[in-house]
Amino acid sequence: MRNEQNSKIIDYSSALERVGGDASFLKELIDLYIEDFGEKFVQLQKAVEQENLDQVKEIGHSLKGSSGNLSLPSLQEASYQMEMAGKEKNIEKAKKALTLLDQEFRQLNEFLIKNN
Amino acid sequence: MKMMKVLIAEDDSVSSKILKRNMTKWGYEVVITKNGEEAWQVIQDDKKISLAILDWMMPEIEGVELCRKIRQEKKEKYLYIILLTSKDRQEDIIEGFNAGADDYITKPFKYLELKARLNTGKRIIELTNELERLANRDSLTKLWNRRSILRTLDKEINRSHRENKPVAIIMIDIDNFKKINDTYGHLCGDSVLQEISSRLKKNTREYDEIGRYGGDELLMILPNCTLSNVKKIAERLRHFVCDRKIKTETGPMSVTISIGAVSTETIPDISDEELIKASDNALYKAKNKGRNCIVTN
Repeated sequence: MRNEQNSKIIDYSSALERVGGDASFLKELIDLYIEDFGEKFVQLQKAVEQENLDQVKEIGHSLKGSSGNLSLPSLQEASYQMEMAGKEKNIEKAKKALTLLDQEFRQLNEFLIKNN
Repeated sequence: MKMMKVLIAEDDSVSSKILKRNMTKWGYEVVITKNGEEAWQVIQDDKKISLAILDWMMPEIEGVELCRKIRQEKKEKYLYIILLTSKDRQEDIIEGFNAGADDYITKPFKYLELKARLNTGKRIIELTNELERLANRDSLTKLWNRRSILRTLDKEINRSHRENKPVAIIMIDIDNFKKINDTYGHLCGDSVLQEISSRLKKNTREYDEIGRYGGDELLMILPNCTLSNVKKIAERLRHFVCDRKIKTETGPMSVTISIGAVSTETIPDISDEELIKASDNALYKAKNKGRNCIVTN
């Protein structure tokens, strides 16, 4: 249902627990994540274009880390796909993961607009 | 215990911000680095860091590789290392431990788990600090022990060469100490030694060090000290020790010391052993002059 879908976007209580219950700090971090994601996504597009699969792996891994820390399951999964694509040297997989990341990021933004 | 200083090596800024915020809240002093190479440099330069949290995958040097490098260096002070690993790398945890990690945390971490694992690290670090104290201090006088004061001497002689400033040493011997022990017993001798050590410690500059060199011989190291200065300091110390009687189980006792004081100002380019020998010679002369006095070089 609604809640199930939303919890795939963000597991808010898990994220809040990780930052010791500090809700305003969590908001700060989410803003930072969004900014960071924007930059990293551009880098990923370039990397996929240039078929630089080491970069794809590195950036995928980094995004996986930050998504995980903010308990954003869908984005974490998509980042993981990107990391694996880089590891497996699979450019097609990387392209798919790029689309998925884009999708999930939009979902996150929509959710945040509705809920803040 | 003083605030523990911790280094974090993590290239993701969201992760490192969370780590820093939490750890600062729990009372740690936190330094953040963004990659393995930067972490390595900071560890070399900052001797106060006692615990490091290393992300496994990082640009420049990987966490596990950095861990190996740190262990190979084998420094004086132990660095407690925690590796941050992703859930899918659990098989690599064995590699991490073999590389010298003390613990690991899987990402994304749980707040209370991180806190608990850090506490364990703190406990181990406190243990190593206690061991260091025991290894370096003379248990009776609480001064540096022989091994430690000689190591300091070596450091200070090197430094005096580098900075082109003289270093002085003072060799102190308690007059008729054997007689005190033979006449009044060793417990009495011990309390005399403790009281003299205490009086000397109260009268040193912040950067001078005193150690117990032998049974009743104390060695003081004074960086950046000329011959005329060490003479003044030695004379002041002699008065401070001898002008008041020492309380013992057998009653107040008059105790005097003989001192050999030398400075590299007049004997530059000298080795550790030669400097000790020079102070020994001066001390010997002081004994021959009738004790309770100072001789310099």
